[in-house]
Amino acid sequence: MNITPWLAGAMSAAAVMTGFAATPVALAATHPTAHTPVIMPFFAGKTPLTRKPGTTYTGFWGGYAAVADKGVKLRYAAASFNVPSLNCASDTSGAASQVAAMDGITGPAEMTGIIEDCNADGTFSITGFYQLGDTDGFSTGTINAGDAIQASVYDNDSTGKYSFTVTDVTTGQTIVNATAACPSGFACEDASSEAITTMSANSEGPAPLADYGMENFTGGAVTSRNGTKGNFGKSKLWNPAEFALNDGDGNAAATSALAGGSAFATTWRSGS
Amino acid sequence: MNIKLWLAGAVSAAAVTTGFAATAPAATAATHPAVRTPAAAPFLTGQRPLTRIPAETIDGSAAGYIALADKNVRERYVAASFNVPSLNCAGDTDGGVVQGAALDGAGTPYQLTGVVETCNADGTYNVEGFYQINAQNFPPTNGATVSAGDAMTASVYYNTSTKQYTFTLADVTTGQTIVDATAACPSGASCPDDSAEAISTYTGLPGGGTAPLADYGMENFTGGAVTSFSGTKGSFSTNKLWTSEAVIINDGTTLASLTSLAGGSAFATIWHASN
Repeated sequence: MNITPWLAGAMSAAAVMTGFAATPVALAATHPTAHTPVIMPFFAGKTPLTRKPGTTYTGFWGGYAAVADKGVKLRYAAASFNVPSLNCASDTSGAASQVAAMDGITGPAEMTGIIEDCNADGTFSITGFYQLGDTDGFSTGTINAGDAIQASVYDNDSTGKYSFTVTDVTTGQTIVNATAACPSGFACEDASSEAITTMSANSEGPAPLADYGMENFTGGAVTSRNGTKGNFGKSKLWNPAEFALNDGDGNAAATSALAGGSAFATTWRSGS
Repeated sequence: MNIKLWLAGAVSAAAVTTGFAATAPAATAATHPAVRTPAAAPFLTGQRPLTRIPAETIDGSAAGYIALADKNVRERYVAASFNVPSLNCAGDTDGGVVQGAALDGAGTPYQLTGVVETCNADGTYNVEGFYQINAQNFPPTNGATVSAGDAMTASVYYNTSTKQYTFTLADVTTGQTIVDATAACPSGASCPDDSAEAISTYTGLPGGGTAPLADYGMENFTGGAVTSFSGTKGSFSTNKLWTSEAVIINDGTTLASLTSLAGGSAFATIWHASN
């Protein structure tokens, strides 16, 4: 089953991402890069989500989700990857993000990872980030292409806050270590966990998907509120769903099969 | 359970990798510009035929997964994908590391292709594509530059009709073919095609021995694929023709470890120490 519910709406949602929040610890208050990841809830407000085996959501994300069953809440999402280099030769306006997230299907997404932006001179910039609604923060330290990254989002039921963590395994640095509460007026359903490649946006809308070649995700992990641990594969508490990255002009990236529930690759196709 | 098979032998075998062939195959150079070369380091040497070692983790000279062929089974294809890892050379500027896909290697020298990364004295590092057969290494000569973060697909294929190995290394990010070469099993060499693997491994030193394992953080492999001579397609998971073996770099100290094998085709290797 393929679902393309909200492509036009995604562009509108992207436009709100340019507002920056107060500075979390070790993160910058202003964004040094041109773009921020696109948030694109596919079924905003439609919870509980229902099992639809074989579902593919088509939109600005590529990757996999664990979609919680009715009455189930999730509390954790994680994934590992190496920061991909960008080929900005043909389009210096592109951007791409590699992310672990929760609530990407219903929104507002709680997400963290890296954003990469092509620069006008053909080089590219890499920034760690977290984002929850209009609250976000961006790293100031150096991240290099090829660095091994572990990204996770954790909903601490005791504190009522989400913890966002991005670790650079290669340099040993903690890139993102921040917490944020669900914004007033939002539900933050904890209805899904994701690992994704996503398009990015600025105030003018989504940027072309930068040529990142291919991203290899491993270590996909999901935990439910009651402590059941698993991955993006099928479990008694959640069902897997695939994201197909389509920028409106066609498939901008391909998503591989899910290996063992925890690993997959997304491969860049076009940045139109 | 960990079993240590052949680490000392691996170091000895690595020492022979510093001699380069006088005549390079088409599209490759006769001399290697990097200080380090991929080490040839079988860890089940002399144990023929190789036997199934279920649920074991082998202490060896590489970290990765192996499809170890059963007796009388031969494998003709192996492939894997990965992003070129950056190196943290701050702690050891002598280090090097290889990421690649290979046939053989468990009991005899590899038929291997991938990238070799070498730390420089100033803390920077070089990245190069290469292929290796019978402990001889060949870098590409097409001028292609490989950068950290580039997405790579590496494969080795043995054509049973032509008796030639085809080594292919593609840079998905730049669209370049880094390695596209063929080579026959050298006269006198043993190429039993009895294992297929995707690995992170040592590099050899020009004067012999292995270089410190450079800090590559973690390498994420996906798309692992294996095919037998009979055409049976699979991954690094155990099937009726081969068994899955996990190997880590451990000489008393674990230098590189492994995650579990996901769906037979994906895993990560994790750097722990240089020596």
